Amino acid sequence: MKPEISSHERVEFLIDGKVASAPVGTNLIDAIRMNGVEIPTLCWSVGLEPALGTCRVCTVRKNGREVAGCTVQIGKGDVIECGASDLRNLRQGVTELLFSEGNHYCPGCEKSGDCELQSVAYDQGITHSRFPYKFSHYDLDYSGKDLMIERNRCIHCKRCTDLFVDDEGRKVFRFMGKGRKTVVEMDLKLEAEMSKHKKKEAVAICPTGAILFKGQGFDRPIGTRKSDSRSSK
Amino acid sequence: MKNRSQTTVITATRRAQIKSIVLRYERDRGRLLDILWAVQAKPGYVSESEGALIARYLRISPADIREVLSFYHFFHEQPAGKHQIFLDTSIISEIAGMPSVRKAFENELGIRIGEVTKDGKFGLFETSCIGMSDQGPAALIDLIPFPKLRASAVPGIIRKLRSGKKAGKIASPVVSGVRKLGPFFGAQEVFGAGLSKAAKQSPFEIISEIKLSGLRGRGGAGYSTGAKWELCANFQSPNRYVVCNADEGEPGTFKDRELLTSQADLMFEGMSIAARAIGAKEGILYLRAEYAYLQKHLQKVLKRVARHPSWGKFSIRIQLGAGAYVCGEETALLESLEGRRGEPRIRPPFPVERGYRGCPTVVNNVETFVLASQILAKGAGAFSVLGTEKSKGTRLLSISGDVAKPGIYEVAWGVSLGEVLRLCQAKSPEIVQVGGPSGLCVSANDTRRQISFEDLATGGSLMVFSKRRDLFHVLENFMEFFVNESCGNCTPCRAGNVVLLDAIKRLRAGKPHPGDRERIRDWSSIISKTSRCGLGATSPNVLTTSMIAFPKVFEKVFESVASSQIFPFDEAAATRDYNLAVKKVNRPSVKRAPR
Repeated sequence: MKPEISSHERVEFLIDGKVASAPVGTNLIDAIRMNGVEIPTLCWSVGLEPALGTCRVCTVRKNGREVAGCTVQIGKGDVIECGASDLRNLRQGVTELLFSEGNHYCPGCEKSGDCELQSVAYDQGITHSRFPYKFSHYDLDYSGKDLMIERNRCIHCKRCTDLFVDDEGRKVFRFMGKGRKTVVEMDLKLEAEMSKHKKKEAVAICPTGAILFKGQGFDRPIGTRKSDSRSSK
Repeated sequence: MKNRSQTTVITATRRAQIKSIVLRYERDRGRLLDILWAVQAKPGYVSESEGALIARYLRISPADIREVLSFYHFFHEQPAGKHQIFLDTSIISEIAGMPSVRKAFENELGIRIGEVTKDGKFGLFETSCIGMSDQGPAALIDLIPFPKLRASAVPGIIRKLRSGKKAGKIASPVVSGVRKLGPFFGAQEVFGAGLSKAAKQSPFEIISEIKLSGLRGRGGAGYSTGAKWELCANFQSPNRYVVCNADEGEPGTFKDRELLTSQADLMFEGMSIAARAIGAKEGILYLRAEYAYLQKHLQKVLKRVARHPSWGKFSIRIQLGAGAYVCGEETALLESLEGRRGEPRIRPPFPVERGYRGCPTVVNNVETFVLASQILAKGAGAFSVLGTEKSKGTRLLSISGDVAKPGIYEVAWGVSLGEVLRLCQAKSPEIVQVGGPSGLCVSANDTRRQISFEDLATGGSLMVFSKRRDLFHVLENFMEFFVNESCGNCTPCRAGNVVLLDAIKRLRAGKPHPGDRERIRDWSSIISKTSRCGLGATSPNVLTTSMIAFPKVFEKVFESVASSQIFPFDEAAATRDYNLAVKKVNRPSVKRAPR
């Protein structure tokens, strides 16, 4: 439940020692961005509510404690730390974990250039993962009518499972299994019934190239994709 | 994709049976765990078409059923055997002789772990600690515990099961693990004294008494119980709930098993007192599936205690879990109680504000509720006089491992490690593991350290390992536990623990990568600081504290690498080309002088 926000009620807080302000009840990451400080996010994005808090890429320090920024609201007098090198290391570490867990071969991916994971990695200056790559085996689920799930690229953010519903409000995607064996599965019956427009939404809600249209490659030429020339944000 | 079971035709009788089960739970999706237990009872699994049928009756999607089924150890989507054998893989079970027992089962049944015999009679599986570390190695067969298993006993057990005998008739009984009880858990505690006293008090007075006692939650986190009750009471809501967390899953602990067996009346009494204090009419006991064999006994006790004149308008139901360590985390437990996957919630809001079905809820551990009843009966003063400044009263320790007298001990907080090791008659101890895999490791030579929230905090588990044991074996077992029990929701815990497990395996094999020493610290810090719940926040602790407590053991392995054949990776050299290219791209364009 989102509290009513009246824009003139603002709170002051500190970002890395500098006084900042934002409307009462603003999502912490939003509040930070309003004040010109960029924090990478993957499972969360403006408008995607409620926050899922699954990827942990937006870890900052709030009043001395590490917290996934997207899961909390800004409060009066909060002391927020973002830029400290240990925090950058935490955020970068989490992003690198995603790269070592999945199989992300960006050059051959349909989402390359429009991928939020890729963009976050570029922004953080990641050249390789510090963690040994797992090269785990993941199945590609091609059994949908129009959509496929490429699990090598899934980052388990839960956007599709928790935030996406079809036109009748039914969940189409689910988490199956547990721990490292967790995979996203698609309800084939509901997928077959979904409108084309809804399917586009499903592809768009995925931050990586894990949910795609079957038989469709790159839909935009290189040079015009979201993060070709600059950061996606 | 996960192998889906064959779509089978459901007979009309079975269909009617499933329908009546769903109706028995009033088509309540929140009771999905109960429904799945009931449907699974006979064939031993829930097939895809049966799942779809349940979904139809509940008016939810078949996928809703399968995502829950696939989360819990004891639910099966495939035929898993008429008799289901679960071997306890905790480190204590392993060092007590599980390897030979495991082999005996595999030989006798002709299958490997994770398989089902061709005739469909037996399924052989492994699971995390089943709360029998004082009587290991142990296994659950058809959810009945078989303590002190020996390889030689296995053929007999299988033969009897084949001949149609019930597991409950074959298993030797679980004996009491009590070694030494003190002022609060001593055998002479009487049910009802606390309740009668609470009946004459206002909610405010009850909460004040609990606060005055300094009681802190015994589940591990140690939050002030009185403060928790007060917070809950202060949130406006028509409904409130009292939940008892009997999902004692931390490997090495078994004291709640004992309390549920012999002092369940006092636990229910504590719940009733809490209900009075916060104004709740309903309570739930979340019982881990590993303790399902206690369910009938608990029902009986519940029926008896609810007749007490001071019981009040308060009903308790027992909810059976289905095997998931993470459900010991209170918000994951609430999710499970509502019939979903046990994935921890985002906090805030905390359960005291929005808990079970969105209402203010107090979640406390079994031991905490027993203590609450005793504090009311004996007065806060009798409790707070014991212990240390920040850790009041006594606590139960479940001691296991290389000791002559494993079992349950009631000690006052602040007791020294040396005293504990003396009590349990530790046999040439080397490593002391306090608090289970989510706790920490200390050297047995640190006898002056004390068991308390100030120093060595513990949820009750204390494992002792002698000089004969390999520290890396212990660490590998713990990390494997976390990898298996991570819910998979957040990145650091799901992917990070796997990375740490690989690192520990390298150490155990004597083949660390160069730089592993520093990397393990860095990786551990990332996992513990960014994880969503306590599971990931604490999973690296045993490893990092072991590095501090046993530097020589680690040095020996790390030094071996210096002379090994592994080529070091020069990151700067390997990425030089890339960095040059990036520099070139980012170079500000040269300004030309205007013409």
